[in-house]
Amino acid sequence: MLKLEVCGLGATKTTNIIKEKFAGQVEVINDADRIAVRKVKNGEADFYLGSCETGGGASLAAAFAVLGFKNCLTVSRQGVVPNDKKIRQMVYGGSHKAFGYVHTHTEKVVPALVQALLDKAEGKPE
Amino acid sequence: MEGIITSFEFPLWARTVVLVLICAWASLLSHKCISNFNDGARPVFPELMEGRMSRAEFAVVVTGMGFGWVLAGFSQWLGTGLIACHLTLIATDCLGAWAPNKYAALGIGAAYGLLCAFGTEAINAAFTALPHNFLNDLTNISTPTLPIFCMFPAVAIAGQFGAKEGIITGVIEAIVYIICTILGSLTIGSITISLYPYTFAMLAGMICLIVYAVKKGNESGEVEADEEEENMFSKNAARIKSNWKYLCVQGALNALGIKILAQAYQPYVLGAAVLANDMVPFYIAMVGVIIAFIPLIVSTSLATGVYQAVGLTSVMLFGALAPTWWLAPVFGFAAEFVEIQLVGLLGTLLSKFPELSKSGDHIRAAMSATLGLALTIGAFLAANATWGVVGIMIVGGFYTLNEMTGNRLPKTAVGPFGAVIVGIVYNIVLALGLLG
Repeated sequence: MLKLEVCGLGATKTTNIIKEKFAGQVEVINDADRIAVRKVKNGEADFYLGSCETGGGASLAAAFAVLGFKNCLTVSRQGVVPNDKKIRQMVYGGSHKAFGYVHTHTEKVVPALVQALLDKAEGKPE
Repeated sequence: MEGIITSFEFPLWARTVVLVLICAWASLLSHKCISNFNDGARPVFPELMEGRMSRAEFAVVVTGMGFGWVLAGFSQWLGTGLIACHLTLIATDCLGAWAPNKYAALGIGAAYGLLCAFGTEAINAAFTALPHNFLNDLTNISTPTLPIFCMFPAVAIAGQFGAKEGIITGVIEAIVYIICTILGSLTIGSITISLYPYTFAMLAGMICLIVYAVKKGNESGEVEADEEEENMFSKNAARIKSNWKYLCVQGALNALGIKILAQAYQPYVLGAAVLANDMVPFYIAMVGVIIAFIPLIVSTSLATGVYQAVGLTSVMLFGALAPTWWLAPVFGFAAEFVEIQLVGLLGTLLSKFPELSKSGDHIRAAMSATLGLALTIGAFLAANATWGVVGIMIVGGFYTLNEMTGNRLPKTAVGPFGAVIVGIVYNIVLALGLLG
């Protein structure tokens, strides 16, 4: 079971999507961002998903501070929404712990992102 | 009463000078990694400062993060006639990032300020030369702003505390609004207070927000920041403080800018307030904005050592509140100075009460949702004024297309852009003589 911390402007929508599409496979936790990133650092949760207006500011601020820039990835930003394949490449191509996206892109980004994280954790090929 | 602002209290030359100064200075501060406007690009600055990225790589990332926002800023100008921070300061982030040295940063920034001031004037002139000047139709875009935006406290409460609490707040706000419209004004002794409906509705909502927040209390409890993190925060707070002279000048310029409307912040709310000749809704909205943005700005600033170009946005409130234009920069300088001294303390407070940043998220989500809806409806009204059902069809198509392709354009920009497209197409059809 994958444990995801979900924070930010799109947290409610993200949580609903994950609960609907990945029931039984993913556990969602909704801590405040500063607590969430620390849990990811300590290994109490696997990944951090944050959303905001820009995809890389408020969504990942706490993650940058605690997990470091290297471990954070801006998945989507204003004007740029990657497709499912690209999101999969981004996840498989790095070892990021925290992912940021624009909250209005939640419906496009979250299913592909969580699917990729799940498959990668289970050792499935890209 | 609603519309876009075309007549300004202060002349074009004065606004241009201030805008040029704002842009030049902001570009310099972005170049020197002292402050930037795009909260999403801020975390990239340490990569340049600590040598992990070259200036070119850095500039590419900053520009990539900013492009959509400059478009949003342009649509804000179309809808309000005000040159908003998104049009100026997001661009100066990028220009400062690209600039090879500080003189170039100042120069390019100043040139961009000139372009904004005269470019918008030129477009205005071009509008009047069209067969059908649809600038007047675009004034409809801001018509629904205040009625819908004033409901943001209820939406924020619904998001954070539940639908029931949200509905209760919404009903309270509506009742307050109606009472204010019926009474009109209140006379206590010899003093008459005008009861501006939106002002008091928003105020009632904000009070509800505070009441619920206090009642629900702090659920997650304190967290102890580890030592590494503490060190980073205090080092970065010290860096921001050491740049106080640069930042306070920016604060002073921003405050002057908003006072004489050379540059706007929250342009749709500001524009509606200016046109209604009642600035109080803007002041109250700004209090909400400041509360909502503190967690975001403080945490990104303390994580990077790079401050926000408009600070915690209090300079916008104090600049607008200044009784005369020359007091505005004084207020702005002082407000920015106080902010900078408080950043470290606010950071500690946020670590102690992590739920506060969640409240900030909910308020910002609510503002984004209400404004997005208001501007979308406004865009339909504008398109309808230009070209009736054909206009509605085009904006509707544009909106749903954006939705289906994953909201590439921000919700606050897609409607206004659709309305502009309607205006352009309508003019082309008129020019071709296809319509009587």
